[in-house]
Amino acid sequence: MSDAPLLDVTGVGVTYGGYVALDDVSCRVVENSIHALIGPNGAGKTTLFNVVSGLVKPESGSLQFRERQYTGLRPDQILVMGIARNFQQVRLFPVLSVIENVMVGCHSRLPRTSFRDFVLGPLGRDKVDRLARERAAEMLDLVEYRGDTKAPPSQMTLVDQRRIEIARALASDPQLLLLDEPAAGMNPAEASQLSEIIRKIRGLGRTVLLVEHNTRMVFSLADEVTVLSAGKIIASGPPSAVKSDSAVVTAYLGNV
Amino acid sequence: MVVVNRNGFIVFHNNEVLAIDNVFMAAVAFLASRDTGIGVGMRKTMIAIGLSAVAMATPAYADVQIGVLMPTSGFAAGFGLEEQGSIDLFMKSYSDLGPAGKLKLVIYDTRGEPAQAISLTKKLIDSDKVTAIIGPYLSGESEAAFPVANRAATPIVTPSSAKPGIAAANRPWAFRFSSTTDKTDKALIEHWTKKQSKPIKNVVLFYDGKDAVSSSDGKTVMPAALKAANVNVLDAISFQTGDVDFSAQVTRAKALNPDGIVVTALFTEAGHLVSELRKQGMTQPIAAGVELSLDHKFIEIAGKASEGVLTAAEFNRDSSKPTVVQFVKDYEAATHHLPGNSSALMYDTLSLMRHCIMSTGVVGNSEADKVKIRDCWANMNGVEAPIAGAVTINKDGDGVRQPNFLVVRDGKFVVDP
Amino acid sequence: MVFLQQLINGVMLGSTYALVAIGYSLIFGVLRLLHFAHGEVFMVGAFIGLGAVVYLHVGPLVALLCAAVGCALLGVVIEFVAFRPIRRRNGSLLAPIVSSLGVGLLLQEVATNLFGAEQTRFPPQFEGEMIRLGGLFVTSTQLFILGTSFVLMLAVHLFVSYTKYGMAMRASAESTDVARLLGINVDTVIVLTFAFASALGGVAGVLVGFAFSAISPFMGVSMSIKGVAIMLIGGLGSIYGAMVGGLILGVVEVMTVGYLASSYRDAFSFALLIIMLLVRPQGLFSGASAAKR
Repeated sequence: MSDAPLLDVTGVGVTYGGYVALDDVSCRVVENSIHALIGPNGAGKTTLFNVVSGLVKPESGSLQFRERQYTGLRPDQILVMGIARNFQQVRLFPVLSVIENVMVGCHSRLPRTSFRDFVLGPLGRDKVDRLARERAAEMLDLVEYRGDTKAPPSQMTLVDQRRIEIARALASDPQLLLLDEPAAGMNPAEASQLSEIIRKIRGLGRTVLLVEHNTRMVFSLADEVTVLSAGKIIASGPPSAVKSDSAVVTAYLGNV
Repeated sequence: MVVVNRNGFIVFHNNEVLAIDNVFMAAVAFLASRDTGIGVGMRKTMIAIGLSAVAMATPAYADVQIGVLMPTSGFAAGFGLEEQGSIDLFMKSYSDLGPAGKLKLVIYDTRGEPAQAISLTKKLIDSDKVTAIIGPYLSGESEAAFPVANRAATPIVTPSSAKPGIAAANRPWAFRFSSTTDKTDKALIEHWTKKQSKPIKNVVLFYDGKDAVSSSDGKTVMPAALKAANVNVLDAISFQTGDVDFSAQVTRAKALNPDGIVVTALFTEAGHLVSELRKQGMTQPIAAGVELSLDHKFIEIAGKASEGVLTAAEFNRDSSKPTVVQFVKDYEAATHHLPGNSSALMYDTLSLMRHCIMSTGVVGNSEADKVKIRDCWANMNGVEAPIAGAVTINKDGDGVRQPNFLVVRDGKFVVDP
Repeated sequence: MVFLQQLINGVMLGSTYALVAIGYSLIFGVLRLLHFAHGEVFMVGAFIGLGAVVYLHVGPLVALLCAAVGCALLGVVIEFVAFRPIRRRNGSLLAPIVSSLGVGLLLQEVATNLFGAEQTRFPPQFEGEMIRLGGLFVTSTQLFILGTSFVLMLAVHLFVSYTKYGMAMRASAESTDVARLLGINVDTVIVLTFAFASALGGVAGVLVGFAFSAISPFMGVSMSIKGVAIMLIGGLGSIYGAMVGGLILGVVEVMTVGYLASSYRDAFSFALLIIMLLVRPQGLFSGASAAKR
């Protein structure tokens, strides 16, 4: 733990037009931890996710992953590096089946497509296609998805869709998994089941950065909590410390 | 976009998309033009001809300017290219008009489109101030362009358009060198039916419903000629200029089992049709209207299937007449191609136009000069043209001649006795 | 019997339409843009095939392969020249339409100057032998075309369903952003899509050349319009829609000509399109229904 953090965000700033979405945000995520990011609506949590995953380029500041500077890389390069995410609004591919959605997540971890892949892949005998299918099934199992894998995801419940999305993100074998409000719309039982899944993921040696509104879930699950308000970090530390921080209380009471 | 074409002439091209008669694409092209500043105006293909000759001309005389309209691009480009060969050949030897100075040609590409023919006719008369116009090529174009020239009191002579009535409707300024299909069709059908060992009682008639001359021929002129020869038309089946798939038409005809097949179409479509007829196993004798224009491309397209197809044409390339032999020789030397029917028609039309300029004392591009040329064409009676021989223009403004009958034998058009 | 023969004629015509339309759909799927030069890629394919046959004296299969490879390269060049620079600069939606129209015109003009404006054809031996099946007739070339088209359609289906890049193509077609976040290099996928679609277009060009002996610089123009119409009938961006739509259009055209008149052909085709847009605006196959397959 004395080592450098897995993810090191330093002094990141993002503005949309004149609106300051992130202002000098710094945040360190320690390897193999569950790190929660909380804050009122509009605090900039999703923007920070977008910056970390490469969808939004920061105007200032730097991003390091495993001590490697990666500011300015494309999203696909960032994923290959080991950062995967889900979406607050589920964004599964409607024309692909459940299993195919997860198989797409395997893309970067599959061997190069050869001519053989083209010829044999279609016949179902190719190892690339088989690998992807097996891995996808494994991931769906990990997130405890029990539904039909050949149906389109639109036929599934929202809870299942969130699970599929997490499986899809996991399929790329990420070191760091970014989860944006995975428990939104879940009842307490489902949320606690999800907590177990997240712990299981951490148990596999992965690190989870979590945005979540469900504070009960956050404080029972997270090793580390960072509080964001109006684009700024107002507190950071273990859950017990953050919970009693006066700035956090003010921010929540003042805004929620 | 500026492209230098095969003949080394500079051709300015506008948006090709307007060639498509499709509103959607036109709309896209329009939007496109607004976005980029590509002009989608009238297409202008200006070909500078006989540049060296023009440059040497002394300005003492007002040269005589003649406009030429022909399709050098688009589906009918083949005809225009045959005409181009004759123009080059003719201008090499005959651009000098003696006291009247030089013959200058202003040539525009109509792309085979009537709308283009109209606007280019206007342009030739209003901007280029030509004394007379040769062209356009297709009947559909001439039908559209003749009224324009007639209103503007400018002589216009098509070398080739054969649909009946279109010169008659535009008296007194419109003429044609060619004779009309009603005359050629009748002669062709008589000749064809007489030659068959098995009498022809029933035929299927195929016609191009989009091309003006083929369509009028297929809908009215040819049926009349067939009726006069006591031949019954089982079905008249149409296709459209530009079609390449004729399977549906031929399947339909095959079911009727006719004694013979009559085609009125331009060479490209006729070629594909004849090819499909033989491919589907229809072996009946075929007669093709004068629209075929004796084009060797027909044989190229139809291949072996073209064997035995009978057609009528003004030009007989194998004629032993010395002027024809000379023309074929010179044309081939200059272009490395054999002249086609279109080449012959253009060459004769140019010759007669020059004859009219020189014999009536045309000196420039005035109204009086226009009248002189008009009267020369209107009163033409037995004037010798290098290829066709004696040329007479009737009161309708149409050429009057007996066609040659030609049949395909061993991949060549030969005279059918 | 005549009806059956007409049906064969229609399927023949439709199968070549389908190949062109699949290319359109693949590119539309990924870029959400109409690639107006695709008809010209088809035309270039025909000329490459013709060149291979005339100058290299190769057989029909090698000619197809030459056209596929040549057009794949051409497609990639078009992507780099006409689409990518505009995408990089976030140009207007109209800009790539204009640039692809421009590329199409350029290809037409270059072909006209190289090969002339007139139609040319494959040597007569490519017309094939006539085969009688009862009262029906087909030529060996027709069977070859039909076979090739259906094998290629099957290959396209298998490629997009069961290969890594096929899946990446479908994912990118849904959302380029999400695809990127899943580690897919969308630029690579776009290049691949252009190559693949253009190869299909090129093969279709050669097949049409075999079928109708009519190769000209302008043969792509009407194909472009038909491709767009088929895409609307089949569902924007759906390759299965393109396959079925192509066959439907071919059969409708032939039946109209065979039983009515050729002058109604385009009217019927477009009436079909309008009815489709009214009754099922999303096309035959679209969204979720395509996934059910």
